[in-house]
Amino acid sequence: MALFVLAILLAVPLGLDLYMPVPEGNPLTFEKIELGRRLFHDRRLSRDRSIACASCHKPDRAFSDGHPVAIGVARRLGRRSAPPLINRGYGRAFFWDGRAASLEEQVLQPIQDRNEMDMTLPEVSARVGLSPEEISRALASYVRSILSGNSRFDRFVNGDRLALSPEQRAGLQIFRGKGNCTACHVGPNFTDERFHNTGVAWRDGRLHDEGRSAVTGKVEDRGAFKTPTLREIARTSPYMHDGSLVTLDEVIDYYNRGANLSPGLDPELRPLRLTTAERQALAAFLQSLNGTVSDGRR
Amino acid sequence: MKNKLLLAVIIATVTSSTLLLAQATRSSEAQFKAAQHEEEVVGDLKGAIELYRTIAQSGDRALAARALVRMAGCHQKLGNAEARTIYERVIRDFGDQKDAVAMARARLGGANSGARATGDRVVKAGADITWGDGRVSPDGRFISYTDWNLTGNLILHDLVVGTDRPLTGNKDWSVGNAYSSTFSRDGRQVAYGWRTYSQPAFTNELRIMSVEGAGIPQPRRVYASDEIDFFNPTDWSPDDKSLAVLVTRKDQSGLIAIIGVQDGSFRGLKTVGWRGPKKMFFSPDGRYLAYDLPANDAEAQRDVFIIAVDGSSETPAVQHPGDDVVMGWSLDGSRLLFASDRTNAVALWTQPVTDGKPRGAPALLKPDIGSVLSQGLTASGTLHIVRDASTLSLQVAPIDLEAGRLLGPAVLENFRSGRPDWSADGKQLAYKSTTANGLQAVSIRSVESGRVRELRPALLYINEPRWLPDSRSLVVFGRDFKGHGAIYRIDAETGKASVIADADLCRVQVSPDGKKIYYEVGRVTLGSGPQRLFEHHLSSGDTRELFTRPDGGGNVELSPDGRFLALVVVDPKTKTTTLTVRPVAGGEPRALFHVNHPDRLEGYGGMSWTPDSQAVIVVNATGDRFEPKDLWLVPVTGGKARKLDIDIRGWKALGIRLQPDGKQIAFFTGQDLREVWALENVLQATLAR
Repeated sequence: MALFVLAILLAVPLGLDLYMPVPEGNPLTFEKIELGRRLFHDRRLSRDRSIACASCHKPDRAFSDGHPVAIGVARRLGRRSAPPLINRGYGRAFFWDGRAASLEEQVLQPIQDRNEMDMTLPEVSARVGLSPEEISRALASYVRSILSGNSRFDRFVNGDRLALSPEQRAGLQIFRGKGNCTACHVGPNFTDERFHNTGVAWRDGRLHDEGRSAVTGKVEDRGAFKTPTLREIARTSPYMHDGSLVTLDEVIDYYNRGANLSPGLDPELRPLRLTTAERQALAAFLQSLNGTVSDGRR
Repeated sequence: MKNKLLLAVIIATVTSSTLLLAQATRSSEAQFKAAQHEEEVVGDLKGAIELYRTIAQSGDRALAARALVRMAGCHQKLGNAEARTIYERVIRDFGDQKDAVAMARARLGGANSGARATGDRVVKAGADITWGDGRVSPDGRFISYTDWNLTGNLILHDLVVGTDRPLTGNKDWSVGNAYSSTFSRDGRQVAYGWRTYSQPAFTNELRIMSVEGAGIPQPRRVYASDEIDFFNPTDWSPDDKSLAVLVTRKDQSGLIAIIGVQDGSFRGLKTVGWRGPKKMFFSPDGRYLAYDLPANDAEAQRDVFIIAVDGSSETPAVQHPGDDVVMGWSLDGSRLLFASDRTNAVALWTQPVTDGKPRGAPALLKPDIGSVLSQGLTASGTLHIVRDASTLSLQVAPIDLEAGRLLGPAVLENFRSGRPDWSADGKQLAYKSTTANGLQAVSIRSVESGRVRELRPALLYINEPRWLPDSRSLVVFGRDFKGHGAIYRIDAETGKASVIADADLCRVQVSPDGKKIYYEVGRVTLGSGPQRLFEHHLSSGDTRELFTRPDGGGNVELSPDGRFLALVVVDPKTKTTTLTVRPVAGGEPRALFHVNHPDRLEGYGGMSWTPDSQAVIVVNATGDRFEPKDLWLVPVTGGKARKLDIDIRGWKALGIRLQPDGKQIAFFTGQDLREVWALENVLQATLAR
């Protein structure tokens, strides 16, 4: 049943793995992806029928929303930013704190979150005429179909040496070298899928968000958040789990100064001593990670 | 109230009992590892037997059974008949411990039948045999390997005639090297990775060539990319149209890729971590690839997976706390062969497979194969593996530099360790070592008590540790579990590692005041390219390049007073080697002493400064294999070099090091040796099951 799933159903863009983990209990099908797409845009999933998944994960913004934190029903504010949903099929943990182990589990939580869609599963099930399992499987299948690749960086890596400008090539060297970005942003999706305390949650001498430790209960996970993908990064501002940094320059400056010194700060973070030209080159390189975003259509 | 109190007491009792049991288990496990260390690293079998005996009396039946099997193994190695009695006891008394019983049965069966003695044989031995990155040809006549010692060439070894035929035309390491090779299914071609030392960056290619005929064949480039650090072709598809290749990207992530042999088409199948598969094998129908990966980020132990070549599925095929490494498939594709140390000794196991998924339990096929490094199976079912047969050992002997002789016999310090370094107070000797479960560690031996402590920093790779002057911490180049390299400070008590500078693979030294480090990058660490020496200030983080040297003379040694660097310079035309010193602060190098080819002063680990920084002792080696010939003491402030009255034949110029007071010298003896073993009838046994 699962044979030829990706090859037939999805056009895997340049730069991504051919193999995407798909649970045996929820193999990809055209029908489920299409149903998931409709559900993704269906405002009936929210209590006041005002928002859909696509409200916070806008296709034209690489499935992010441009706000510092998610805005739910009745303009209620979430605690964290809505991450871009691209390439999540390759993910190993979901949400900023990794509290969901699968996409099937993840997609149902915003529906039930009071600050997001504020529904119960029986309610939403009755509205759309599908069981919660059917909703979960369809939405997860659709999210798996959201792929970003074929960026200038991908074309460069695959042999088109002119795909990156000289400045972007210099930025790539910094990304891999002096900038130490690949300590976390590694692999085809530019994320190690792990959790790091980058000091962002530490302000005014206190931790504003427990992050991963709220899930694991471990002290060493305090203030740690999952490494986000850098694909489509130029289109998914603002940045960090709380949307506290608005521009790429601000992000680069933040890491260049060694992040917010705080307890448990990831040891990979230290002042980078990047020059102005190096910071500009790094920002130029990050722009090259914009590619083609597709959602389920070949 | 009374009932609640009683409940609380019961809970407290159960909880504390559970905690005590957990602690006892952890303690017994630690004892087990200590016993393994005694057996495998120290080599004291009798001592290990006593430790295993104690563990076998613990309440943990699983651990007791494992300890008994290990204890029997020690007796077996010593030729004691008690081994049989212990194996029989395991079978009789530990029926619930299936792995241990299987191992005991297999060993008893092996001893009875003598099958292992008749079926297994060494087909090639030498220091030039690589660690399993070559393959056996399908007809079993050839093995391929890279000559890492002398030329970097890809070698075709004829197992029938016993000859070696270079398939690439290197005269030495100056051009490039082959690194990983595998035969096509028809046995007519070989695919391999090739690295060229072009500047400013090395280039890598995936190549194929015919192995038919004679001489140096013309290679064909199948795929090349500046964005790829390594191509490790591991298997040809059954139709010989594509290759399974482990690719290492520039960001150090690995990628299992399928590359078309004719058109170079590239399909990235699955991203893996920095520590990719040791091997990958196509299933006989070509639909699946079997490979192994570390089970998690912090362990060396691997599990085996099967991935569909079309990317449609991936299934864990072998999952166990032990180290499981794929070795091949049965001819009919119904079974996967893997090596596992689940019963502590590395044994060959089979896992039944249907449609890319495991079916049923694995079965022990052959005990004690002693290696997880497969060179593949022949078409008739003979498995070839590479075993470590090294006898390299670190020795320490008292020395009188003035008289130029040793004052007593050498004492064995350790087997298979890395280059040693004395602490500034001369009381401790540190060297790289390997833990029982395959992770790299730093061992510290107390000179006074002989006690060895093993530090286990959270690093996957460790280069040569060097002491800081306070004798309480060390610096070392290391790689973390994501493959990122840096220079680390390691706490000599806790083993905690912390980054002190970012650097590519390098060798580090420390200034006598501990404020600066010096690190070499290039030929000495990467195997090629010009060698660059950097000075890094620990407090400011400032780094400056001291000099670049184009030749391949070896390491640079910092004098104890921190003022000079000793190095061996090679004349590319005459191959004359000259011991040279140059001031750290800048200035012209000064030639001190030279020898003419075929003699060679050993710059790679063959130099050590005297404690007063007034002289350098240096190994003079000779011949094609650079065997140590004599040891010279060369003054740096004038005066004639003099040959010391020390017989160093049998030494290895891998890392001589004088104690800071000059009273002892550490050095290596023995042979760096690996063996290719052919294990016959493996497939017949598989199919018979």
